[in-house]
Amino acid sequence: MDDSTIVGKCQTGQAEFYGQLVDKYSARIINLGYAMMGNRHDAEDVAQEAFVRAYKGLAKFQKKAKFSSWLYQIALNLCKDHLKAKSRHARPTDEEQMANLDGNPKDQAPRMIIQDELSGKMREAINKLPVLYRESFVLRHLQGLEYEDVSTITNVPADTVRVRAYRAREMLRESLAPNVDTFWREKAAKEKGKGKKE
Amino acid sequence: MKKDDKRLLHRALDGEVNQSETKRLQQKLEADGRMRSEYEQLKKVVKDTTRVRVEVPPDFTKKVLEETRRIKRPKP
Repeated sequence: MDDSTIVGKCQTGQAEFYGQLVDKYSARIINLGYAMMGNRHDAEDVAQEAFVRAYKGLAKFQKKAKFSSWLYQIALNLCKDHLKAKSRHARPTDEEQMANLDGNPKDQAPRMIIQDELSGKMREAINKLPVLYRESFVLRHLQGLEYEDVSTITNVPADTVRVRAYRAREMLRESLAPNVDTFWREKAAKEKGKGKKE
Repeated sequence: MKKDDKRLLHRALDGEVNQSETKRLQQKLEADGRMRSEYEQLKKVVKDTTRVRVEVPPDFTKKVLEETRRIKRPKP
């Protein structure tokens, strides 16, 4: 059953069908929150709130729109609200939580699929991106959406979304591979120096 | 690196380059070690991003539906 049919059923009072939409999009929405906020508990809370808000708004939802884009919009706005409030009521990121553990494996997050060094560094680097770059990057690369869809969700022209995603990639590249840049800078300086001597 | 070359790299990462652009990119990558290295790093960034994931808690849908049952059903 496609999204539009399920939405139609929910709109005519068959609310039991809503579970199908939650099953279909829960991983995407939780992982959107996780990449945006860096804490899986916040990600789960925000995702739950997003699904509840979407349910409440179904009566007004126009079937011409894409349910997934609308749901992403709701979730992304909630993530941004959460990030704004974060300085006041912050939960630590998963990185910070892991650093505070005493090494007892029982304490460690049981649902983390990946807890290796690389994904930790990547998550940390994503969390340091400016929010506007982060949202474009996460929607494009973690969620695998086309720039046009990201544009609809963020309400920003596709060209702007594209530039933001490009800048985010560059910033991540620089933060994850700083030594490589140093190598090329030093190499260029040496070559320049050589040229002068000759 | 020139702005145009940078843009070409990013468009290639998105799979948006045509045949002649692909050829141009290959030539540039062969000639420029720094550009090649940046391209490889950018590809790695995009690839590694997919590793940042968590599982959905097994009772997630149940919890959402419990919440939705507490509110009035949506009416057209």
